[in-house]
Amino acid sequence: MFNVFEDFVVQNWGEDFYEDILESSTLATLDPFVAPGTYPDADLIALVGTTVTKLGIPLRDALVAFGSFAFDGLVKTNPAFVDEHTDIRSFLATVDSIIHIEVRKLYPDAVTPTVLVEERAATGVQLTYRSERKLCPVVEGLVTGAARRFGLAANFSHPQCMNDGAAQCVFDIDFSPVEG
Amino acid sequence: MNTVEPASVETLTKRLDRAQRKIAILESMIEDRTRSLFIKSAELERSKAFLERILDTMSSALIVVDGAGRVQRVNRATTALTGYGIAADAMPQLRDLLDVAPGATVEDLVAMNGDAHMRCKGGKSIPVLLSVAKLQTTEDEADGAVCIAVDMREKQRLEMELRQAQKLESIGQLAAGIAHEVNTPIQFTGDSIYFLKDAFADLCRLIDGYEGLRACAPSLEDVSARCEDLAAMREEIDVDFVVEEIPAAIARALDGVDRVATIVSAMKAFAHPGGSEKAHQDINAAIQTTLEVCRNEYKYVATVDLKLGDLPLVYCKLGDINQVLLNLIVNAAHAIEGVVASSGATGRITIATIVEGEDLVVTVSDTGGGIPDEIRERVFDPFFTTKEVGAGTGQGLAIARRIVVDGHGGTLRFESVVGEGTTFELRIPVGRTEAGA
Repeated sequence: MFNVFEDFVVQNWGEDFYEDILESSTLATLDPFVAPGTYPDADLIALVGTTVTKLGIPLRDALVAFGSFAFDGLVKTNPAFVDEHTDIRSFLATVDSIIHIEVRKLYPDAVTPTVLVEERAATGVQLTYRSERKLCPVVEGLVTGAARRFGLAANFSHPQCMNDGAAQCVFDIDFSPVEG
Repeated sequence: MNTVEPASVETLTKRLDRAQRKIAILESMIEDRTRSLFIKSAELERSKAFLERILDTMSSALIVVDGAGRVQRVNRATTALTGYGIAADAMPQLRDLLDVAPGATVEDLVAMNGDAHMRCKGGKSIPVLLSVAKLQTTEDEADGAVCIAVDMREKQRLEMELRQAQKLESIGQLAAGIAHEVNTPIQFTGDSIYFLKDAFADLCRLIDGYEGLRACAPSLEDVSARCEDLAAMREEIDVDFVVEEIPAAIARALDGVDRVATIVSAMKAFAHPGGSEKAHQDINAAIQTTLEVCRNEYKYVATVDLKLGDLPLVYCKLGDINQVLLNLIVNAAHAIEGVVASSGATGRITIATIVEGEDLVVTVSDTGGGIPDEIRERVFDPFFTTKEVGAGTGQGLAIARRIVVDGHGGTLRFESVVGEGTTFELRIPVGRTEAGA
């Protein structure tokens, strides 16, 4: 995720801006971030925090945008996980049962969140997210990125949120074809 | 998307430096992973070799099939047993090894759990105990099966030997009784023959007297004296008694000889009832023979009530069925003996035969003390006996049940009321063919 975040910042605001963020953030990790490494969540939160402070944008918006961007980056490394699905709901159902298991095989130290998906109405899903990181905006961005991949737009309602004291985040998500 | 300014030289220098450090870190990680993979690979090889060694050391045949019932793997024991090769490119078909229909599934294999036959190259068939377990992928799904086949030939041979030993043991235990059964008719036959010998000598003496009288008939002066002598001799011999008793003595002797002949014939029929293969047999006659052989076991403690029905010839191994009947009758006699002891009273053994549906049913009931609740479950256990040391090995009913259940596809069960007696019921198919047994 650290490298995806770097790509996200560089593509949007340039390499100088990323160097500035890197130097302005207090990080526990002294070495450069590499893809196979596992790093403290606090470092990513620090980088995101510095970014939104410097840009003067709301944290939630930044995390949603990052999630949406990150989805494409993650798919590039393992396209098969997505390509074998023609339906976003069947893809989302594999996040916990297949993708997170594969992540933990590759990175035994990785701590993956719990993402439960149940089909809802004709085209929607109810997604339940549990993680100590409480990064529900990133989840929203990732699902938005996934919907885009399937030619859909995602419309979220978020009746329960861990950041408001709930035990888990619950999203009711409706998908609709992107017009035009 | 913002318009991104080109990076400054300073930034590019930092990024280049960071990229070089990333490369160094990644190289180090690759080295670590490579080392780790090498170690893991070596461990995997060791585990694989260990598993191979276990499989090839197994004395039982192992067959692994995939979800479609295709043989994927066999071990050396399978090769040794069947003669088929172990090489992956020369794997036998499942129906070459086991008696399965073409296209047999994992479920078909699981249904074969238990006694089965393994086929060998060349057509030979080996009795095995087959244990089949599904290779589960999930709790509900399987993509193959593991079959383990234990060669039962040695066990069957030992069982046959044990059965034969038990038969000899039974005959040994019956020997004293049989000797007694033979001794009684032999004694009265002997007494009769001794009587006939003496009577014959006396009669010969009398005949000699009459001959002497006839010889002196021309000189009549001796006749009177000779007649007096003969009258005295006739008196002494008690000719009326001798003439009356000789036919009875001959009848007794013949009866004794018949009795001994019957016992010897029964012994022969019991001990050598024919070949070891199944054949159609007269079970009522087998019951009569067995009763004859073990008469001494019950005659002082019980009367026997026979209720023998009209039976067809029953397809069975007569020697084995004799053995079962002997065990049931002797056990019944011993149960009654335990109740009547030396009181002089007698109990009753009732033996009935009947055909019910496709089955022959033989019941042996006694008026003994019954089987206590606490030992009922152990009655058929090998080596379980309530008899005194030396009086029973506890093999009788265990072997009887194996003969009936495994050997004839039947059942052997009992009902017992403490204080009233026990009824054993033997049930075997009347006309079952060998293939169905």
